[in-house]
Amino acid sequence: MNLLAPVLLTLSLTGQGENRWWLADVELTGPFERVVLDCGEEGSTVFHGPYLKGERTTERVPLPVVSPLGVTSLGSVPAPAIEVVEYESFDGGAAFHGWSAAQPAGDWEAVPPGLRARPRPPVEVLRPRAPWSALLLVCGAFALGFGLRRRPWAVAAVACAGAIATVWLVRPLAEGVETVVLEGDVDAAHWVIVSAGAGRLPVDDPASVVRVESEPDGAPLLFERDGADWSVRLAGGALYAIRRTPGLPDLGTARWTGAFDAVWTRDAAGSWAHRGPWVGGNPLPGQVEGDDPPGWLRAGLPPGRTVLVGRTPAGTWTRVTGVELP
Amino acid sequence: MSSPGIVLAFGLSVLPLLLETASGGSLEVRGASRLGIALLPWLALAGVPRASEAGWHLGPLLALPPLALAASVDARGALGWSDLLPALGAGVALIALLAFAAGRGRGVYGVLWTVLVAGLPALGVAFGLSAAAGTPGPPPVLVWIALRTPLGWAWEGARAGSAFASPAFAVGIGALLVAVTVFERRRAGADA
Repeated sequence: MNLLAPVLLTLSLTGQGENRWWLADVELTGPFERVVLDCGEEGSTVFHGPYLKGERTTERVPLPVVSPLGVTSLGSVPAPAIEVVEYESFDGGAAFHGWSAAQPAGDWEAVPPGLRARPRPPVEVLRPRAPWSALLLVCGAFALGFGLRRRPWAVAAVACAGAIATVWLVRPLAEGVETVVLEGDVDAAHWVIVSAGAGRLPVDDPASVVRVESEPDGAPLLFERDGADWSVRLAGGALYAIRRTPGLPDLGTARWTGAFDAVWTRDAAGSWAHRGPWVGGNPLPGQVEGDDPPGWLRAGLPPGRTVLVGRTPAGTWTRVTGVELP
Repeated sequence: MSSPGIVLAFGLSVLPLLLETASGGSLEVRGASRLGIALLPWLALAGVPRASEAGWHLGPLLALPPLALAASVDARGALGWSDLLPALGAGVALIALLAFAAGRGRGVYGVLWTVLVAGLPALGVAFGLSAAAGTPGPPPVLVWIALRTPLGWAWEGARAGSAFASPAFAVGIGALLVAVTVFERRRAGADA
């Protein structure tokens, strides 16, 4: 973290917010450099080109709107305003053909309520603000430049140096995926993968995304597509992209594959045990000395059920309820 | 720009950033571009008609650090440098064009500045306020032009918070004002 930057550090440990991933059918016609689908205060979706002349596609595009009653009220959500940015001709365009008939939000309903209700991972949110050091530098550069106003070249040198130093001081905040957790239950047919991050969250495999949430809830989001890559942006807030994945209903702990550098279990009585590293396919190791799993992974779990929490060497988490414990 | 104008523009452009930091978040700029907000006072004051042409370069030069600061904070949020750098460059160029023309222009410049820089955006705001009160909205062509004047362009960029529109029309207005002042000068020289 930039120690000079007076940023506000907040940890958010939240429940579920509004779904912001609603698909619409949009026809794109090249040439254009960029198309902006403006959803007003709820945000926008931006396609970065270039699209070439003659290129014409109809795409299912996510829009960051809020639909208070879910799919039911989607039809009453206004169409986005479309802005086409092009430099060479005025032939390019985009047309909104309505909300897609099949919405991923429907797939979300197939996920068991217990999994849907689990608290989201904590995200370290750094608010975009001017650090005091940069503010003082700008005021100092102004005072010095103003004092030298009878020497134009000195003013130019001071102003340029001040601007460059300011940009250097206000470096971009860290952004991207911070935490990934696979949430599952051995009795559930569908599990979910929750990716959480701050500022900008890459959306891998957008076809499997069923939900995007933000903290603060309802904040203006920016969905961007650059080439084949989608990302979500939110200044000074937390972002969650949720994908649905097939569950492993017949999973017994002896049949796990993959490796964890640490696993914890909770018995039906609610006692946690640290079991150290574990490679799938082997019997679950016995209890060893160690800390409990992080607090956010212990929260929001159903009482009276067994739990297995695992951390992979890559730092992603797995949290499954209903596992058989030895 | 006059010295009081420069000090005033600097203060107004830095004040939102200062309040945001000093308030610890309670006065946070959300969903808007800080660069657009910081440009507004400079663009409003750079072209105010004045008698002396001396020191016109001070405004655009001294605007650089606060505008760079506002753009850098935007870059920490939802805006990328690919959007911010062209807007920053266009903003400084507009301030330079308006400041250059303001010290040299006379009667025609004053009229054009009042209409194109101050008047159209003010008219757009007035129409917007009256539309909010229930009267018919402004004619679309007026909105189109008002949002492309220097102040309208910066205001719309500040409001949108996602990407700045093309500044070509606004820069064209700045260039027109410079051309008018050059023409006025030549005609005054020929008359003398």
